[in-house]
Amino acid sequence: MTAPALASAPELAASLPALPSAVGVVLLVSAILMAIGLIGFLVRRNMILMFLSTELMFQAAALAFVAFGRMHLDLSGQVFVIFILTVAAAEAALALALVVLLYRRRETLSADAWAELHE
Amino acid sequence: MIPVNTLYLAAVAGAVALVFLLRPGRRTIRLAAAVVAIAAVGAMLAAGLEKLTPKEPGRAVPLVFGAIAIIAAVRMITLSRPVLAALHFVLVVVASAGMFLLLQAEFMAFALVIVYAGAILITYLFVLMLARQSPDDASEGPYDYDALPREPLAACLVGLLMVASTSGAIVADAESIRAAATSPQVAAESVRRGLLDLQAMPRLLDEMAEERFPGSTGVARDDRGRPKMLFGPTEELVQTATVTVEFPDGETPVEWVLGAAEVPGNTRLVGMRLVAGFPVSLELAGVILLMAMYGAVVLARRQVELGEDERREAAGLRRLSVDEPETSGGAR
Repeated sequence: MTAPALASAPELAASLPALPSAVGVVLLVSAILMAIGLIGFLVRRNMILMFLSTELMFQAAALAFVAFGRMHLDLSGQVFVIFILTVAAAEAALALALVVLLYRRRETLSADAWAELHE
Repeated sequence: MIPVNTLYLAAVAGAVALVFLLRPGRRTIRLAAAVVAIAAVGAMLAAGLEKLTPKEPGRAVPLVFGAIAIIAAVRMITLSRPVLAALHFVLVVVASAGMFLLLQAEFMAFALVIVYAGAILITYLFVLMLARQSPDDASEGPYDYDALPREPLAACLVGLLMVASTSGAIVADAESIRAAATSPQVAAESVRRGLLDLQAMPRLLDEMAEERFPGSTGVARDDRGRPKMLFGPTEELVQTATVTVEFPDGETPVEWVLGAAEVPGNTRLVGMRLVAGFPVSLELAGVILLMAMYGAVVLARRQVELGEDERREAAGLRRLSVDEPETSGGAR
């Protein structure tokens, strides 16, 4: 059996899966989502929504990982997203347990109710 | 060519609009701010598209998902009802899954929807519902701590600085972002890694050979027990690998040239990379999840106040007949 002819560079680029252009836009979206998550964490007073904003930042990081992985065609980025999911799940479980505990003490979800902790 | 400044101007406009969206105010002001914010997001994404992507049909598709994700995220941090905010986060997750699909990360897209939207967000919703949603009298509206933002101006300034620096860095690197995704060297390297992964999965390769050449007994192995592969066509640019398919009863073996079409799919490759490349991290992730589950159970458990007698009984000691001052510890 003869070896197939060496594909030229444009042919090879055309044989790549479609839409390589998604990388740049997704990186930009990831940057914006990260900033929105940061603003949300600073602005919200509800403890649960503060943690939800950190989940938004996790999401932005995951998008950046997958986009860079796609850019270099390396799957390690996707593998790292699996670990991000793990950490996000662990964080959600622990943070929500803490929030439930704090809610039982003061009957409010406001983070300001615990403002004396920073003194 | 849209100059970079469009990006920064749109970011500033978006940040100002976000300040007005975060503050409780009159309906008309909020509506105007929402319009400005949407226009700013559109302008930022359009400027990014102009800078970051080569001109080709279908390049605006990721913009749809990106716009949905950003608008839902803004709604998430501006809505005063917590449950609605959590539901908008589900929308962010679904839009991100769409972007993952566009980036050929099919496994992660579905895992994201299942794990995030299906498990983590449901936990958040349950906890939100465990806490009281709003004052008992519905006409009073949401609690103050949900309605009033904390320092929106300063927060938006920080967010603006962050988005300006990160997007500036991305746009400054636009050349390599555009080039890397279409570079033949990177594509050839990806095929080589896929074929190497296939070499590490000999049973799968045998099954593929059996399917392609019925009656074959498998692929010839090298002296280390792996399928013997000859990479080609050159050392630098690998697009194919040649294996020898063996048949029973002394039939002549057949050379089989594997190409990009034989590289396993996304799920197989991610699984291979995860298990073969990061085994210790995988085990540690399992331990972290177990510890988090245990910690959550311990933290959220309702603590029952026990009297001295009950505590002694639980510890296997005899009950006290007379009142005695508490001595040892163990009290929470």
